[in-house]
Amino acid sequence: MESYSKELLKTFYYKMVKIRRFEETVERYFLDGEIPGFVHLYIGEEAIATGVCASLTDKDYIASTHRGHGHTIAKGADLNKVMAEIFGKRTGFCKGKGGSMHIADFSVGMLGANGVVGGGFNLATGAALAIKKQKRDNVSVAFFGDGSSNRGTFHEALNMASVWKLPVIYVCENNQWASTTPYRTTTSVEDISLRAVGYSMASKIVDGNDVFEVYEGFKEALEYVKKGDGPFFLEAKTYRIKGHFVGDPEMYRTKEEVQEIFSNTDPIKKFTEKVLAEKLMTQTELDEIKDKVEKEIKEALDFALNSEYPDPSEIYEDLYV
Amino acid sequence: MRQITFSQATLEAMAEEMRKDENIFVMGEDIARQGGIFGQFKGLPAEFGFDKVMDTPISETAIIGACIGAALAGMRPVADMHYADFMGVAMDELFNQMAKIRYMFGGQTTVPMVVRAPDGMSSCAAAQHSQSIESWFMNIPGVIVVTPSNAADAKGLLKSALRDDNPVIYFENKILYKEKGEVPEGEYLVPIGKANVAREGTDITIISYSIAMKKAFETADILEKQGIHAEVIDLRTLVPYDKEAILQSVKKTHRLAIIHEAVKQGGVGSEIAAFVAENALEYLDAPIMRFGAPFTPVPFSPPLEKAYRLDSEKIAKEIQAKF
Amino acid sequence: MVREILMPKLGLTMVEGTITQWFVKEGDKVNVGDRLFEVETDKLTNEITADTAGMMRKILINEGGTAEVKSLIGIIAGENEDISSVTGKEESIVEAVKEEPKEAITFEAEERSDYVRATPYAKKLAAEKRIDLSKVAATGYNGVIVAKDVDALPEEIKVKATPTARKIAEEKGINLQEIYSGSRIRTSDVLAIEETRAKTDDAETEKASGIRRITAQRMKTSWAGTPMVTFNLEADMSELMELREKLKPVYAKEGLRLTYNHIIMKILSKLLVEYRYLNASFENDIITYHKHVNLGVAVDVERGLMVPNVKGTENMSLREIAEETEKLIEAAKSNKLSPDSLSGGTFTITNLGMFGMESFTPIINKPEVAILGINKIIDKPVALNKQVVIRPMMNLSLTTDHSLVDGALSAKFLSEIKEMIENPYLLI
Repeated sequence: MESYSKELLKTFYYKMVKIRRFEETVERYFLDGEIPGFVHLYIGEEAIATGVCASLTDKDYIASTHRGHGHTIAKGADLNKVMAEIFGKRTGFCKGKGGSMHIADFSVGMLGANGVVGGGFNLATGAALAIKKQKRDNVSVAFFGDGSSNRGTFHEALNMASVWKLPVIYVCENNQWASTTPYRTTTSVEDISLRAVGYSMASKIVDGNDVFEVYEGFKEALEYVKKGDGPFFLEAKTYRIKGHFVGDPEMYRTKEEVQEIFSNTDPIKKFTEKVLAEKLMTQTELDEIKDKVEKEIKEALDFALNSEYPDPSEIYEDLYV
Repeated sequence: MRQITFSQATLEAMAEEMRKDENIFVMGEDIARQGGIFGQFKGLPAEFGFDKVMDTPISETAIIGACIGAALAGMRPVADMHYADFMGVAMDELFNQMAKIRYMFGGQTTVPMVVRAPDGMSSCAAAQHSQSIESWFMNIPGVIVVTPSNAADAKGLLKSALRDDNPVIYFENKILYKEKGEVPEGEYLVPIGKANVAREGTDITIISYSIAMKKAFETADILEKQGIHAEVIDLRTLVPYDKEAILQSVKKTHRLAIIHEAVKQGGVGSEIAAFVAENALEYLDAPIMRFGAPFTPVPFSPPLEKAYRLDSEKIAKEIQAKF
Repeated sequence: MVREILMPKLGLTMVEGTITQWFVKEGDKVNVGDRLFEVETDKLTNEITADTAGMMRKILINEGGTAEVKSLIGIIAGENEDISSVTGKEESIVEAVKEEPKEAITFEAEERSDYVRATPYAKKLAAEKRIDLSKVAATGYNGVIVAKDVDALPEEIKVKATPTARKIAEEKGINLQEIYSGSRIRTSDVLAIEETRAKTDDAETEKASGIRRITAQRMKTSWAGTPMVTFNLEADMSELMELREKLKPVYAKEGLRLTYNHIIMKILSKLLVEYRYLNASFENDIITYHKHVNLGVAVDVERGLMVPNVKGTENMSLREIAEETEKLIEAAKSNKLSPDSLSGGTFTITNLGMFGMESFTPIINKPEVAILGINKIIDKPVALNKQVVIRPMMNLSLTTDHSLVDGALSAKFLSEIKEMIENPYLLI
């Protein structure tokens, strides 16, 4: 393991806790009936978005999924506006027109969550095509799940990116659940990254619940891609702790099973134990970050709750330029 | 004025705009080395290179999806769909992504791209290579749909489309490619959203677009011999369609017929008819008439295909019967 | 041998020909070389002869008909030879040409016979020009009235009418065009039309007027809620008639017309002071004995029954009663009654004598408890002092509310009225 600056360690912890607390807050307010629609939580997978986005700038792009809060926050989107959007308020990123599944912040290169499973592959690929044409030193990242690797878009995008040697990194969050179906019952490979071979694409598997591994795996991918050798496939093994959506009866697994996995693999717990054991950080430092996050969450919540809903007259706005 | 073909007109539009704006590039199946299966891209790679005129894998979904992604990252891509029929393959990208991104993200961004879709019946190309599917997109908020009927509009509308910040679907009829027409030299734009009163008349408004404009003119000629002066309107843009031009004409002529090659049921004509009925019923002196294809796929065999086509004699006869 | 006769191609440019004449008809025997038909093209006329012997079994294109080159126009074959393979083929071809591939849509909606089928634009024009579409001749498609049918007609004469007249006409559905004679139509003209219409059209229904509804309600309440008994008694009118004859000229000098009603009212005024049960109201178990006699008179006006009352008749002279009564009747007829004159009555009389009634059962004007009906004076043979004499007799019909006024009291009251009629001098 390379040596990590205190700054980066703090960032890891800060982002992971921020995502966790954000999701817990959303869950609570959703169950209270304050949040309309439906929401998909990223709890248990925080290390992936955090480890990946730590190496990205605002000029790099990410395409997200329906489970996109974590990606959005990790990419640096304003928490208040994320929260307000999920609450359907006009102060949200999408003025209340998108909601949880269509959150986006183009100012930080976040090209949008996507309500269609597998909808982001081609967008990220196209953004990489633009980067290449514009001769920029940036990359594009497609976050996706194991389930969406069975969509045609996955295969078309991977082939095109490989043929054109585009600077795109496909980050598979293999959380083992395609909605409510175990991925092994519907997918021809155990490791999704095996599919990269068919597209002559370099790949790597990392422990998605270990932010250090994700970070390092992604850095390797980044270096590879930036050399101009084409796309990279990074598979991060993880586990979806919450149901597919808030309110999912989860008939397909037991609570005990989930709890056991979580207690062994919780990325935040893993991180904390490690930094304390190796004396990379102190409990005080961690607590300070926690307090900071609490304040930010509260502020975002207040912002969302106190914001106005859009006026019905705004319905025709933002359709055409 | 000089005469060039519809196909050459599109080529001119592409070349002129690509020279002006380095963000424009075009990708599609068989367009670079082949020059497009209808020759509509011939010569373009020679000037702009294979980086700007790209042959793609047979991956319509990736073509549209990647164009969207590139547009989001600052480019102005053009996607060629080979045949309009293949848009069905990329439908999610077209209607769930391209059409919705601006709106569902609250106007944060634009998707400046053009989808070029060669459509319509050629000669016995049968069910999957002959369709006119423009009406599908009348039901999808967020896209612009243009349908040029002649060489001049082909150039003017394509140039406008390439400059538009909205996603534009450009339906270009395969038979029209070789048709020659007068096209002004130099800079020539046709505004999006404005219909063209192609022929003035007093007794009936005939609305059409794309290839069916030929039938509209033929019908008007036949009617003229019978003393019926038809006004012929070329819609040019289907989304947003020129409501004002339609109402103005109908209020003048008190009769309306809509002609298109696409299937009549649920077609563009249905929308126009409903719009006029809602807004100008009291001006109508005869039932609104729609002429389009039968409610079947395009058949293959020559007699069947012939029966499937619009027949201006029949159209004129039916219109006359309502006088 | 079956020979299909086809439209011949006579020259390179011929695409179709017209049969101008058949020299044979179906069923004729045909020999080789026989003239079959004459065909005309835009260039020439040719006679076509038979190249096969047999019978002319079928002629498919008649004289004057046109057929494309190579199309079947007739069949020669043996008399009993089967030609179905040829005709069948022909029929199917003919059918294919005749039948447009068309999605069949047929509507068999029943149509309202009074519905004028006109295009929306024709309707708009007709409305603007005030033209009745039912009188417009249709020349449009399918017999529909189109704009030019309306355009052809002159705009109907502009009717001059007062705003009120227009409004009433519209309410009553009167077409002003029909009654316009050139001079401005006034409200009274419209009302006159309405009146005539009301009289002539007995099948017409209309919503009852306010007065009629109130009258109806009162009558029903009275009828349903009151145990009414009607008592009849004839009175000899000889003396009363004599009295009237004597006073009439005196009253006439002052412009007053004295009627039997007036005299009977005077009699009632005197008697009712003594019969407090009859000059009373009975409502919600409360009996109200009135201090004054306010005599109601039923007046039949155009809009319904009105019962104004003359107040305080117990202190009035006959002349005053006559004067006041006539005033009220006049007011009722000209719709100028004050609300006051319609309330506070204590007893009512109603006279149907002028209509020849001999007896009827008047309905009490609630909350009063009695009403006296006056009938026609009829000369009748009566036995007087064991002799049959002719006397002017009049029947009195008194209805009382039995819940308050007992039968005996009613009878006594009525007989006293009779007595005073027969001896009006008792009034003094």
